[in-house]
Amino acid sequence: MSPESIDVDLIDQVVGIAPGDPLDTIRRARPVARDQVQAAEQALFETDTNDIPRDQRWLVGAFVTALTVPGTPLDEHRRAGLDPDRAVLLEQLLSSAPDQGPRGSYREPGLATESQPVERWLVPDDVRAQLGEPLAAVVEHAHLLVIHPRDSRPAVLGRLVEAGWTRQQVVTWSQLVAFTSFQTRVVTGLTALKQNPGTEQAA
Amino acid sequence: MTEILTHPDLSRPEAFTRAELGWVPWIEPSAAEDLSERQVESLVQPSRTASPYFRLLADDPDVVEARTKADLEIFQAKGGLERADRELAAAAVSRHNGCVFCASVHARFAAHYSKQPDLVDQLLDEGVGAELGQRWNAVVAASVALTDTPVAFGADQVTQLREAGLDDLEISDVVHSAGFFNWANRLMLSLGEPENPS
Repeated sequence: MSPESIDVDLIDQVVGIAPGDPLDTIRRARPVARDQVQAAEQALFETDTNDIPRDQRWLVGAFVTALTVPGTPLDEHRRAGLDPDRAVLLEQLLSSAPDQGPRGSYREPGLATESQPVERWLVPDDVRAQLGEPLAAVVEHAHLLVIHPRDSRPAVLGRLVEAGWTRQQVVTWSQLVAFTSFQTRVVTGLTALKQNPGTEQAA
Repeated sequence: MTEILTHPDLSRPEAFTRAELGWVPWIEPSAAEDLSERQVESLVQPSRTASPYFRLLADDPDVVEARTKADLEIFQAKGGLERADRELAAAAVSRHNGCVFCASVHARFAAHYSKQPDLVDQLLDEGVGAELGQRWNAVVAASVALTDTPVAFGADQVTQLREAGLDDLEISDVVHSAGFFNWANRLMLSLGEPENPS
């Protein structure tokens, strides 16, 4: 981590929180969480740990973010990190990927009546050829985790292994999708608080 | 190539429950004795090396360390939202996403801290539409809106939480607790599965 990056907090940046703002005070009441969430951002998006290149991380992060919080400053931030060719591929992915969740089929028999079956979404063939099979498999896995996580099964995880990813890489990809699913919600919640200040803030 | 474990003889839960479920991985993690010093440190609490889930996550130590330190403060920091309400948010998110394992753990915690096990069971049995009283209805509705994709949380949920008596620090605690389980559910659902207590 470079020295100048330590004070940069992505959540503050995309929500628009300045030092001394009511939301700054609230975030600093949980200083460990504030710092560690930024540390996770760095550890997932600014490294090549387990030999996963940064550009692939940003594509998958942008895909998850665009499905979860489309049209937000966080979505724009992720897209801005893509090179122009990848930005085009992202649009192609989003144009065919279902975006309503959480759905899926329960593995527990007593919950079968609550299942909302989802047909497995596949990366379109032309995009697949450009991404390559390993990255296409990650994008499909990310879509399942974002939209219908209760469809997870051993065979679903097996597709990542069959695409050539190691156990360590599977863990990193899983964390990247799961962390982004957290970060998008925190940003949305804090943005809603900022846009709807309470009486205690107006006073 | 990494072997995928399917556990053909596993005793699996039938539905949501507050029972003390176990969790088995679909990929064999490193053995505890094979973890490096850095990996053990990344799990924050040495006891976590006994968990196959955390031993898997130790494959990316920087991330699991940040995850775990954030988790502990989001749920255990003094002041702000009551612990029972934070656990309720975690249980509601898990109920909505369909993570039976996470729901079991945090329903137990919510029942313990609130001393309202019957209400927690209503959430598990009936789902996120259960009638739980004004405060818990607001926490559950906020958790559900945060868990929907695309995320649906906005002014309506903030207003509902304020009307239930929450201040902005408490609402931020709801957001972080519910947000965190959108992280945790996806790991627990996709790297393994729950098993009944032996």
